[in-house]
Amino acid sequence: MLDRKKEIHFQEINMPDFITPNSFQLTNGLQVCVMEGGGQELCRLDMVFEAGSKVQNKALQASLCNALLLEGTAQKKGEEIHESLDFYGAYTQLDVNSDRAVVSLFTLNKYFDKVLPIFIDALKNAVFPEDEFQVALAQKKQSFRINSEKVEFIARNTFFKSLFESHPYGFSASLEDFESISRQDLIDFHSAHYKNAVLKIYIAGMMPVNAESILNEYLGSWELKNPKSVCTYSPPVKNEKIHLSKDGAMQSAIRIGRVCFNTHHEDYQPLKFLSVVLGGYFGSRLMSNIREDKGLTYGIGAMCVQQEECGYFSISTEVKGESTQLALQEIYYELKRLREELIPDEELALVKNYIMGQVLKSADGPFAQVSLLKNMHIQGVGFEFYESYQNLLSQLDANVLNDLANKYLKEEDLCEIVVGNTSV
Amino acid sequence: MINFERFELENGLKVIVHQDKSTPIVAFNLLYDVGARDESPHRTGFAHLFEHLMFGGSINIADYDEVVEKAGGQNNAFTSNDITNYYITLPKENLEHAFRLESDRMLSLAFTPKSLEVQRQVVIEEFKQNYLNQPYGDVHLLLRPLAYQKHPYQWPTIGKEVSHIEEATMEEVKNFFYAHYAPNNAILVVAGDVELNQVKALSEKWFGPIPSRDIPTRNLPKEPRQEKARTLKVERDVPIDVIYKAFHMCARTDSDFFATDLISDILSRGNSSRLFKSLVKEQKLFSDIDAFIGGELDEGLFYFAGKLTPGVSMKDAEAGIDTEIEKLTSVLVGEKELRKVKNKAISAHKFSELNVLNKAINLATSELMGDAKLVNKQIELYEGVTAEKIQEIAQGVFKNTNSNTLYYHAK
Repeated sequence: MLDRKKEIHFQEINMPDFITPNSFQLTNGLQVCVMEGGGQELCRLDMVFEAGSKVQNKALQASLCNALLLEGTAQKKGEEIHESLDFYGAYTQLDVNSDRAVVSLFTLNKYFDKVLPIFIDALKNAVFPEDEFQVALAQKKQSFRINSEKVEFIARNTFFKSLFESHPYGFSASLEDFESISRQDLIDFHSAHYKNAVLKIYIAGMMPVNAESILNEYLGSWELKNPKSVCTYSPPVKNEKIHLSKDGAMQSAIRIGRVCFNTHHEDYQPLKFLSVVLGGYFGSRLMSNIREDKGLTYGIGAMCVQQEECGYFSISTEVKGESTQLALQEIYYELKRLREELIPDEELALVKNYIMGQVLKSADGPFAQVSLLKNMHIQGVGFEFYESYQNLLSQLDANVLNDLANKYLKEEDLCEIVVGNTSV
Repeated sequence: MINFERFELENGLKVIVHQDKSTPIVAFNLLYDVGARDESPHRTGFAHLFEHLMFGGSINIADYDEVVEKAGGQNNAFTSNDITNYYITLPKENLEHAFRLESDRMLSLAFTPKSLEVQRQVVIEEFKQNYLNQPYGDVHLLLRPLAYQKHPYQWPTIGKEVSHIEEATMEEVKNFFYAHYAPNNAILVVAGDVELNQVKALSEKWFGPIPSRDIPTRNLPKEPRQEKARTLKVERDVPIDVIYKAFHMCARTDSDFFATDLISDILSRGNSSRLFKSLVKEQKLFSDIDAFIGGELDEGLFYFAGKLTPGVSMKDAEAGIDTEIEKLTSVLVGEKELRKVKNKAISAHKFSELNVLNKAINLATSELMGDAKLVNKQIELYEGVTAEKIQEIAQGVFKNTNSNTLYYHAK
């Protein structure tokens, strides 16, 4: 008879075998990092530019420039570019955050030699036509107006402003910024940060035939400049409480957190681990208490986020309006428990396994692996990081984590933002 | 091409195994053939509420998530109008944990009152977060009952109203479980570095002893053919005007489905698509506009959704959409444009096969539609679509009498 109550033995999870990245150099010295695998005749090309919003001189410059990269050259209209990329079934993705911009191309290998020249030409020779600029600006402005109605959006912006003050990390656009940006601002940004670039290239999937020579032909003359050295920023730790009421809001958005450090700080990995215990997975303490025990929210999370110049720690949620106070009280209660009680061994073991499982999932195929590698690379770490990672995890014991909670998660060192129902 | 093997247990559980030796994780996907369409009109949102309750402990295992997390896995679930789908991805060494967990939930839930009380609250907060406390969140709460008068697609998966969730009783929860959760109403897919014999043995061991159950025959009211255009005008505290149009279209399993899907691509896939080029860039009637299909298993909806440029009237915006529809119904799509949308659909399909969980979900839904082999026929079916077929379908679907229009005005 099958004993369903009896637990099955949990196998220890071992570090997966990551694909060994290869790399080669183009004639201009540009490094191309290759992760070959997957067995299907398709690939993904990522170009990482140091063109994040922190280097912009004007609000919206980095994001609009990024959004309009493929919208026209002196020879081709935007729709012609898209028409031909679409014809070959290629996909593009444009992303930008405060540190950098990523421009990606997904294509079937049989069309690589057709698609790559179109893509690179568009990127390099973008002229940001006025009409395309106006369309994109109107679109962004509307999204901005819609987002401004959301309690979560207001809370997030207020939170970053409170933490990072006048540093670009604390900046968010306002409606007036949409009036003062011009096409020329995008041209300037493009020539400063894309045309003349700090650039890294990644390819994942199967390498197309002749990829190396094709890449050399189209990227081998790209003008490169030397990366600037990173200046770390250490704003003061604050204890600001900002409560904004929003009429008719059924839920309140809550953000609690503080400034931290970047990935190279010795406490980054341990604090990141602690944030998983607190609110980084379904069974975490915040989820168990505030969602699964009290039903105050659909979701709550905690995270420790790395940014190049200064990272942050944040708890975020949207809770039932009438229960805003109760939710705040319970969040502080969970923080207090981290400071005053040792995390039980069983919970520690569970979180370690959970994290190892996540690493394993990031190794599912070359596309997943290149995402992971890319994120580490741009912070100046390689896959060798994972050789010592299991060791690092094993050294995190309850005492270390308790010290960490007392060092970083004291109530008087946290900012608190509430947007929505602030009446109670 | 996805290779797979298929077998069925005596209790009716269908099992599909796909071997992919290149990945360290296994996807374990269990699909139940129950969705919001199987709910009573007085207890809507139940299939989705039930999905939440499935994580509240089963008869022999108090904490589902804890076991998944200890095993280094990740799990989630989703409910649609048609199905409820549960999945776990975990290291292949710990595969048996997935069998133990899912078979125990299928055997019986714990049905603790606390779980019902808490998940009821969580779902109400989800309702508020995504549908009520969100600009335009209520669009589908308005549009569905406009388009469907008989068929249960008239409510979204979250339910018609919060009160249906507030009033759910434990008795109803239990009845729902035994009426829909059973080996003979489920499809299991295991995909990853696994062997057929291994999956067979594990399936027999864990699912084999669960008896099959009496599943009521699905007998949904068919939506009568729409004979007259319907419109609804609302005013809300939102920043800009939006318009939605929904037309009845064929079922997911119909041979016309792929051509209809390509119509939505012609209209709005990517920046070279017709609606974007004509209505956003040239005429500037909209800041953004989409055409898409719901993909429902029964006869579904073809949607247009546009955000109006400030200063443009609803009338002019709607006329813009009508002109694009008119082009589709009166002029054959050119060869090059058709080739383009086919290439794009085919490449999207190929990219989706890079991920083991995607493959598992695709196999499960294909099996539900009648045959897992469909998953490998998609490219062929897209290739088979002709310009004449597209025109014929457009003429049938985009009749004014078949339209449901929601004018969503900013106050």
